[in-house]
Amino acid sequence: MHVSVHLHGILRDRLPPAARGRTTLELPDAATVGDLLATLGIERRVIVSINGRTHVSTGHVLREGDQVMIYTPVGGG
Amino acid sequence: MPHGYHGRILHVDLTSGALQVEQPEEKFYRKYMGGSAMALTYLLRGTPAGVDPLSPENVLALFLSVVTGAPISGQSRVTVAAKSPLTGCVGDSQAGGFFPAEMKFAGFDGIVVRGRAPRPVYLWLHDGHAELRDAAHLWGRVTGEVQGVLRQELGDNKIQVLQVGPAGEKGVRFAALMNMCSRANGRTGMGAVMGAKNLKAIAVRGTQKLDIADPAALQALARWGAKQLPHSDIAGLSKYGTSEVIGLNNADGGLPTRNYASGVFEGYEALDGPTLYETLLRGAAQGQQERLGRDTCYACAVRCKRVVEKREGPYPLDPTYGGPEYESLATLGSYCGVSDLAAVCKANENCNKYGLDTISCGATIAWAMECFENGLLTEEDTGGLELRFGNAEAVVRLTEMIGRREGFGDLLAEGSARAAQRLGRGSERFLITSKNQEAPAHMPQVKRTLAIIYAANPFGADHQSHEHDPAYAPYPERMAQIGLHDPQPPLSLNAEMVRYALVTQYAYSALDSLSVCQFVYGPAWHLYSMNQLTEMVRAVTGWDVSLYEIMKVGERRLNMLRAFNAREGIGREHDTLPERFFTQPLQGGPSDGYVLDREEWQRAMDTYYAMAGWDVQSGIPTRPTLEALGLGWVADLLGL
Ligand code: SF4
Repeated sequence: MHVSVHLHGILRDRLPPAARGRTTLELPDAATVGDLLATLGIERRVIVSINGRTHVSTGHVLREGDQVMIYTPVGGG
Repeated sequence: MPHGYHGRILHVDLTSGALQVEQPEEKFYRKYMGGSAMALTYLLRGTPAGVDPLSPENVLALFLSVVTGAPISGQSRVTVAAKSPLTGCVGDSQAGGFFPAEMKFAGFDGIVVRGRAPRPVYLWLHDGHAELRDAAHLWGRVTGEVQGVLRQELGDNKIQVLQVGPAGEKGVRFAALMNMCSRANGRTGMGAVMGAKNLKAIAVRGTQKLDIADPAALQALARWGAKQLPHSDIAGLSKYGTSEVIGLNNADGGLPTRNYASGVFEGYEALDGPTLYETLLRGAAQGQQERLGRDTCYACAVRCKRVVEKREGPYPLDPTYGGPEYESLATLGSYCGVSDLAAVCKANENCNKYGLDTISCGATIAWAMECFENGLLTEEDTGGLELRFGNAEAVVRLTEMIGRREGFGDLLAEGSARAAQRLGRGSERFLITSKNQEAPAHMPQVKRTLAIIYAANPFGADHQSHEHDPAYAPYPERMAQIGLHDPQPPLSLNAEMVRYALVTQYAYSALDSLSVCQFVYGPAWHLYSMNQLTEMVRAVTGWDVSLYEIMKVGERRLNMLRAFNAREGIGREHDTLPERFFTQPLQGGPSDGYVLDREEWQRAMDTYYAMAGWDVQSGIPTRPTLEALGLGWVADLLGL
């Protein structure tokens, strides 16, 4: 299945600058948010939102066409 | 011989011109540690109840801490406190930069200012000496010029200058104190207080190196931090500055847009940290922004400060004035519906040039825009400005007009709450204020404990006074250090979240008393944990200090802030939130439909006062609570 991924802040440095933090990934069916993070090599503490629902757990099972946003929990500023 | 501090506090009576040095005992330093807590002891003892904030009787206190100037990241900060002309409550604000460390090297731990100079003066501190000098030639000039003139006339380019801009001179109620022309003690109008005293600037320079109790332990901690930084959770803050928070908050549905009507902004990407980094950061065109576009505070490895530059176009940008923080990008940007990054940077530059708090400035303009959109203001009122959301040019223009109190800017210079009172026409309903202070760009609808802190915080709505909700769950080890073990689901506002708000508020209150940076030290995503902060204070001071003791300093300071307000007759009835938070659901994005439940919030407030040991009805600290903190003298002052 394919999911589109949008990385924010420092996480977007994992992709080439021209990607502006956006990519589409192919994952095995029934892959979880945890699997997606592993594929991206993200070990930091992050917040994941799927199709606009924020704070989704790592065990959440992804579906074809999901829009995933990943960002870090920095508070202030 | 004390370690980390001098044991010297300067008292300045501007009316008579008398300067005196006080040398308090060690136990005073140990009990309050510096910053806000120490400043408050002078405010509480020295400020007459009911004082006019812009009168000579208002005491203005500037304090460093026992660790300011030590060679480690995140220690160069100064607190400025006085009764606030914006809120009528206690005013309190922190800033970083090189000024705080340099003031320490000049031989002083704090400055207490009273009176009013008969004509403009500046204070010159160098190597243990203090003198007042004529500032007639500096009056009316913008911050960049004043810094240049002072460095030239005192003959030293390393002089650091903390100053009021033209806005502070003219009593703009949210005027800031600026140092390095880019670091602001922004909130609560401390610039107006200093301006009303005819004190234009404080210039400092010193060569008195600090005596550190255990230099090897401090160096080990500093090295650990520098090595850890790229792997830490502030790696993004380091590279992209606080501006990266634009994207993070927008993703969470928590980026205030068009005066808090929505938590998502369609133009967010134009304002986001990576865009700033790739376009306007100094050196970006040559790929040199790492070297030229990032700045720092004394001895800080994080280097999160931005420097922008632009030579062409309608908004040329002068690197003298640094670059925007998240709060400035959000309040002058999305809050006003503006997505023109260069314009927002220009508005930020104007704020730094005239000495304005960017948060209150942007939010006040956003309030005026909503009034205009709803026909409560017309072009006749605004002097021809078409004040619609998204009008970037109007935002830039207004920052100047407010800074000079010119035309329509004169009304906005009063802050949105007073402006609404003056304007009438039902314009109060668009206010986003608590205690007359405009709310920062973190949304209580999305991060619910902000609904407690924005309301209860003694100096008005503030986003740097506790840890935000999303940080509870991901940092169990660090949270456990301060006794927090039970993260709750997002959007909870139950007793455990109240406890989280209060305990982390004590922690942040301690940070503001130790005068350390809240990005570098803290209970969650910060570079150093609260236990490591304790190690740092031990290494610098040589005291056998504990985290318990440090947390108590935080609690002490919070109670003193609250006590100051109590003496002004300000208690629970002033702990309010903007009506809109309860009545107008957010529109669009992940936070679509989010609104606060008034009853749930009131219950949470009851719990908060009870947990803090304050009277639940009045919100005022009780005598036993104050005595338990060694603040019996404050209870006496309040006549409890
Ligand atoms: S983290 Fe940023 S704001 Fe804090 S001390 Fe370092 S450079 Fe200054």
